Amino acid sequence: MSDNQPYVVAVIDDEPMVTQSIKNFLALETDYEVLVFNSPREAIDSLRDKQADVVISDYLMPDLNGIELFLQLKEIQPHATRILLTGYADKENAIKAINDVGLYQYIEKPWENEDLKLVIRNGIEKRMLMKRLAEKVAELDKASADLKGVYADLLKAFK
Amino acid sequence: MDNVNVATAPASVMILDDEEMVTRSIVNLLDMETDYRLFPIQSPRGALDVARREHLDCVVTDFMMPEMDGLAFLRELKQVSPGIPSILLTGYADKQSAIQAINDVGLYQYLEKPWDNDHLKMVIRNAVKHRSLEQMLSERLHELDRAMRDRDSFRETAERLEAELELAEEVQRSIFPRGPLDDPQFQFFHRYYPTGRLGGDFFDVAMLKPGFFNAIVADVAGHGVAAALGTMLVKVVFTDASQRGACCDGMLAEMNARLSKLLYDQQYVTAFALSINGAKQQITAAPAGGPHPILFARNGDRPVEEWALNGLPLGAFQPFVFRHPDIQTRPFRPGERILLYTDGLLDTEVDIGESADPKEIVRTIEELRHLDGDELLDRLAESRGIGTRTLPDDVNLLLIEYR
Repeated sequence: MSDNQPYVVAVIDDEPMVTQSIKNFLALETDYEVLVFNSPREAIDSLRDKQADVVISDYLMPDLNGIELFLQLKEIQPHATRILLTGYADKENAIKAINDVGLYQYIEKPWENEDLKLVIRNGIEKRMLMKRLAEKVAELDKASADLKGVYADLLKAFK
Repeated sequence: MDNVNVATAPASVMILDDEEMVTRSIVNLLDMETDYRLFPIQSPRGALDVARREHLDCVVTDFMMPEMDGLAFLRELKQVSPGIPSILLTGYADKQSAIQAINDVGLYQYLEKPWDNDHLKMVIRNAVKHRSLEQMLSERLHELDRAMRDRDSFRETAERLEAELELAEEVQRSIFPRGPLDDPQFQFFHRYYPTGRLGGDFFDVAMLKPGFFNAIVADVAGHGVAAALGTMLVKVVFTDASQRGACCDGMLAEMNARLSKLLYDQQYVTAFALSINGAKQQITAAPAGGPHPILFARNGDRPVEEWALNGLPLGAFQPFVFRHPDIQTRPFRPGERILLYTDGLLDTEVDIGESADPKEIVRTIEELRHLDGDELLDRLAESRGIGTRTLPDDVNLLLIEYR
């Protein structure tokens, strides 16, 4: 739990059966807040206002493919972990795109639910680690600035 | 992609499988495409030895091994070196055991055979990065701890020093004459504008007997605490000399003799001293290197002039070198005034290192001569920019008026 708020996982696939089954599985086995979208464009609109910790998307979708979706999401939510569900055929595209879209991992269909759960968990941990690291670095900067300030005050008194 | 820089030293990855063919193929895969340091090994016991010796960033292990299974190995590994992310290669049959044990052994991920090489590479890469992030976080937390503690102890020291400085300030203030200096014949007006907390400026007025005064405006060389301590000594020697009835050059000689012994090596005092004889209506100057005082009268019948006398500073020269300075006596009559000041007054408006011409002060006094003592000093200070900017040096003003 981050600050007692549940982690947010967004799932995007044009097939409602897929999104529903993932949602059910996660509801049973985790405390994550799960948002499902069957249209990539709808997902992009909603995710402008709602921060997700992990975003899972199918590759093959009629409107926008998963990689194009992630390219846009990367701008809107750069810090969310991105996971792609790929078929055997489109795996190559996924691999090529790993760096472009900052993909955390791809999962090949058909996947194991346990595996998916593990990958999501690691993805959340990674996001939290980065977040805490950035916070600590900011705190360090501040402590360092404070220190400089106190030192400068001290010097002034002995001018 | 990531906005945090990951460690640049190549990661160490251990690959454990009882089949040499497997370890070799994984090594080949990683060797070609990464810069990891690779530790292929067939024996779990041997692997534990490696883990004790090396700092590993990731361990890839098979599940099914004769000596001990992958999970048992990972449990032991956790004892030897906790926190290493591990990847378990499982067959379909043993996958369930792997899933049960995920939390026990802190498994990062499991991969079912046959695995996809690209997938394996990607998972190892993530595991290594994960480990690196955890380590960085831990380091930052330690650094933060240290920085906080440094800052706190620093602040404590600063507060203590602050308190001592305040006390020192009070002590220094106490050596200045307290209360208005009043006398039936003469009026004394004074202003002190320090630049820092403690300074080297000093002034005093001592009555030798009724109607007979010594007055001095002095500047101890340097700044801060050292100069302030010097003013204490000047106070003592001036007071002593005055109490013995010394004045003029005799007073300077005595002050110089004592200060050259008492003052710290590099320190000296520039000053201008006066002895005022009310009965004889005379004023005698005892210059010691300080700025020339300014003589004037309220009305216009005597010109405003600098009393341009020079002398050696006090405390710098041994008595046998110290010469009698230019001593001069002149009349000092009702309505007449004399202004003594420290050279901080000349430094206020110009860049540090430059000094204004005393003639500027003379010109200003010409305009202000008719004002009452307090107002005159305030306007003089204002005209020099005092109060509107930080002063490069302390400023001390002493105005003596024959009523």
